[in-house]
Amino acid sequence: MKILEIQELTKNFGGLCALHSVTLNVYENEILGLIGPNGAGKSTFFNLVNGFYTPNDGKIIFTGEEINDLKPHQRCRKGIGRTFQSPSNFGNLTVLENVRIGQHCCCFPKFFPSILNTAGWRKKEKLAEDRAMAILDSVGISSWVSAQAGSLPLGIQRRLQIAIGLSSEPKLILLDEVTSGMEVSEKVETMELIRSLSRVGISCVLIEHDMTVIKGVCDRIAVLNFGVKIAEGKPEEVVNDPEVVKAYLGEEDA
Amino acid sequence: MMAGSLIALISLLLIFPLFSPPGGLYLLDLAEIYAILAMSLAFTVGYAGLLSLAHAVFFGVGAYFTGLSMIAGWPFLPTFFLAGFIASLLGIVIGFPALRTRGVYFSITTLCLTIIAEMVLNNWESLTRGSSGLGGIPKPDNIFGSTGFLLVKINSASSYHCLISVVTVLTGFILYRITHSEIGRTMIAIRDEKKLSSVIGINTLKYELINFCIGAFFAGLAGSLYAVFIRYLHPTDFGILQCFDILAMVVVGGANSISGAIMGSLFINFFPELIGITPALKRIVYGIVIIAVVIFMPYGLQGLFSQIVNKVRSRIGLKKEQKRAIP
Repeated sequence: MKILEIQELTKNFGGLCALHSVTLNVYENEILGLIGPNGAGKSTFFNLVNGFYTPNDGKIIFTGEEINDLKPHQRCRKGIGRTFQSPSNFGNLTVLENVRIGQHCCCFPKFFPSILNTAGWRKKEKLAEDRAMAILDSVGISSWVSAQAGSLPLGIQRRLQIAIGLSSEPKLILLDEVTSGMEVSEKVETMELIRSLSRVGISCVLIEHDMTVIKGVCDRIAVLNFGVKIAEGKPEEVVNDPEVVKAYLGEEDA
Repeated sequence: MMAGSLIALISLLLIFPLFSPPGGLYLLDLAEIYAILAMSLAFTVGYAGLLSLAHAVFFGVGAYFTGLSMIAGWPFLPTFFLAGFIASLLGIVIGFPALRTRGVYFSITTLCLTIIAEMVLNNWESLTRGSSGLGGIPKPDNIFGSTGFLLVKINSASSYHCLISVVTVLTGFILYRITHSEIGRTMIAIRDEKKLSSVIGINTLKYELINFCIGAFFAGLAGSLYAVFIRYLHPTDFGILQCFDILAMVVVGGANSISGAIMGSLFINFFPELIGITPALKRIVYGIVIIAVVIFMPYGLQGLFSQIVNKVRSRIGLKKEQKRAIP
């Protein structure tokens, strides 16, 4: 079953063609790796899927429905979550509050109950808080709940970002270089986390430069170069593709 | 912090009239009306990050609406709330296009609206009596209408003080509740990280509009009180200079704090009287005060106040109140 279907997606910035006629499918419970040199259009691809950019041409179909005209928050409500390349979180709020804000679309704050702090609202808030704790637990940062998010170490901030992304209960999550800046043991934990996501039915698209992570978790890989998809397939096939080696991986010293 | 500030405010409002010099109560009432206005602006500037320069417009709409309908013989209370609602409706009308712009562009857009509004007030003479000003607004002799039931008269200095104080305290309380609820946290989230907010499903435009609307509502209420308190309205009271005066109160008080706005407005309104300068020099002093505040105490009077509280607390062995971004 396809969860995300990209048909001939094109995006131009003035004279620069950032993405040219890219066709790509993501299947349910799949982990798809997206690799390519810097400036290949990977982040542009994410921005198109999540709605920051509108494509010049092509179709984005999510769970069988065309979402080209939806705004980012509407796409999130359909089930697309994402993280950013630079760690971003709500630095003035605590870790728990960050995840609670992330639950916005599933635990929608009603205006008057939330201001009056009614019994019904408190009950709802307690439930949401429990769920938020479970998410923090699964990401492995539950010991940081009451820390202010802006002052966290980089690795923890990256994981908090995944937690915020997961808190909107997405069906598909776009992970933009989540392991950069992490130490080796953290990378291993994050890989395990990504695998566990696909086990609970969340498809992932992963932008990553670390090939061990890509080879370790991805079911399939797509390679972008200068806005064009040059390869797609199983990891072992793609990494041996001569064009991919030339464009991105670099030739090994013989 | 909340309970403490509230008790301090209420006791100030109760005790001050007993010891005030002649004219002091008038000044306090005026400062309270400006405090409502400054709190509503602090709510928009501090919690949505929208540096609105259209607040004087909402203030003016509330004031002129109340003035005109009181002259037409309407009872005060429904007029008062209608003034708030009309101001917030105008907030939606202004906010919808203006919120498409960001940062300084938003400020310029709202500044233009203030200029337009001042021109309309000046030139629509058949309605607002233009630059000769709208006078003859009656005292709210019966705030619930002339039914004979619940006859509350607002015509003495003390009854005015009661009315204005009640509205000030309620405004502070309601804005405090909003900023400390999930709604307030969502607004802070949008202020800090707009992109991230939208990818986790927050309709950022909607929340900014709600914030702008609530700010406009309370500004309208302040305008309504101003109309029945001063009982003479002039377009220049609702122009650009007024905008900067309110902003001065917010900055002096501490830009993202509701309680700071009250302190700021008390300071700005009493300070020129205390040192006895002429109104013409007033704004020069404001300018110097703002620059001094920005350089020496960026968190304003509120920041200074909580520093002192923390020092006293540690002196007497109490735990420091944890410093949070949400004051």
